[in-house]
Amino acid sequence: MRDDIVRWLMAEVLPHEADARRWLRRAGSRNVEDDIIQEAYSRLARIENLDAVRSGRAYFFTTVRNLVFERIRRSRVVPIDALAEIDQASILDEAPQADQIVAGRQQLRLVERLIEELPERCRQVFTMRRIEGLSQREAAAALGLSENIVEKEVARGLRIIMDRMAAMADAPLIASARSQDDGRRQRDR
Amino acid sequence: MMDGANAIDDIAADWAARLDRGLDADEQTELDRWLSEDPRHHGAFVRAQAIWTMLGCGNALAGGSSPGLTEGGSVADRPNRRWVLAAVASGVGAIATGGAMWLGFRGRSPGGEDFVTGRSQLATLQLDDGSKAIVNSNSAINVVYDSDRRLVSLNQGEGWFDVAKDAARPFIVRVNDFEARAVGTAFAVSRETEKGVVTVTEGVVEITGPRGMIGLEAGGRAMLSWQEGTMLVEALSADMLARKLAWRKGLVIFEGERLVQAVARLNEVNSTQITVRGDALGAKEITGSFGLFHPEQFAAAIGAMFSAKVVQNSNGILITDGQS
Repeated sequence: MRDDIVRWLMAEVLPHEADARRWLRRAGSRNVEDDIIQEAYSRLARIENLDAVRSGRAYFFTTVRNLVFERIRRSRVVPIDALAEIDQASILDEAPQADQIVAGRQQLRLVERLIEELPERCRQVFTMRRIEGLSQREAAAALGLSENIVEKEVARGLRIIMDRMAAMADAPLIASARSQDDGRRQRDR
Repeated sequence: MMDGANAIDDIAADWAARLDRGLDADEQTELDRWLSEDPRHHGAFVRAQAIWTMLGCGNALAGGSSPGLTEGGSVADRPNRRWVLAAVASGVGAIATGGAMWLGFRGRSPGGEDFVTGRSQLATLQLDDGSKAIVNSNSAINVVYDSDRRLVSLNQGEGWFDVAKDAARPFIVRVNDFEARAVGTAFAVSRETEKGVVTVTEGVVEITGPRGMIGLEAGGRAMLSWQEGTMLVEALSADMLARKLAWRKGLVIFEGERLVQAVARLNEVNSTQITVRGDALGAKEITGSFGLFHPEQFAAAIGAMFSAKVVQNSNGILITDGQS
């Protein structure tokens, strides 16, 4: 897996996942929400030239939307109303969202929250591995656990956090910043 | 389906954990096989990796450096870095001359009527049926009107078309292997090296490509891929739409682009070329609207905003940061 892709997904796509999920729900695709998000990540991870992508958010949403359309087309019942509603509920907006920098600070708080909320042993493992930067072996030695157990805890904790990230569509852990809008207002004065 | 996605996430988390400590050859084969089975496997796995990477960035962020997550800088200093240029009076005044000037080529041939524009030119055309076309600089279109259709071929550049209603004769803009078809509506089509873009400003446009057909409504934009034959559709905000089509008024609107990018945009359409010297200056962010065909006014505005030195000679315009 290309490292730059994973980093890009983390910085440019992950912060917008909750919005994409909310849109899918409004567009009546809740039952296939997880499948579409997974497929969207797969498509995004196959982008050859990341430099050509101006807005990760816009690209992500367009991909999600296309996947919904493809599903509707494949189902062969083409409910025109459904398509119209999708357009109406569109959150596709190319305007760059919350400042990257604000997102970065928020993400730090988010990371702390996510790790704090893990079950105790899991939390210890994640704190060592991700906050303190210990290797699996070092963490295992420090906690008096086998490496195998540490690995299992990593998988378990990661799984919990993956669900937690998806659930941010229900209620964000941290209010989203709209600094871009403020900037725009400033300019209009 | 939900359970399917959940089970996939279970396996994806396992693999992300294993990958982090390193895989042996058998595991690698097994992972590759699983990933290739279903795009959802692949997607869930890269998502798990992205989340794992994000969790590791807490450390770096807290320590002050922040690989991948931010471009550096704090919230407080953001407004300083992002220079806001209010519409510069001289830049806006440029519209009238930029828009009215047309020194391009117009000729009739058996293959229809050709319109060609050069650099720094914008052509506003009244077509025979009452339709109106605005042709961007460095563009070439060919117009053929038949009894059953009105066909415009976009051979180069970009055009915006305000189509007079005529149900019996659809108005078609052909660009590469794609056709955008309208009865009465307004839309823009542009042709680039690897892709085309259709932007609808009014009504509905039907686009047919090698792999199917879509209907695109006002505010919608379709990216046409020459190589793939595909169309990627997205909705633009009113703001974005105005920005993308500002060229029709001889304007260009920047919103946070770096100076080097803004200059590249102007250089693309004008013969007078601007050169920027100094990396810090080139990285300044530009916001505001400018006359697309008036590089000298743009340069003057940049000079005023950033206390930069602007020198114009027969080779073009040179902008340097005051120091050097």
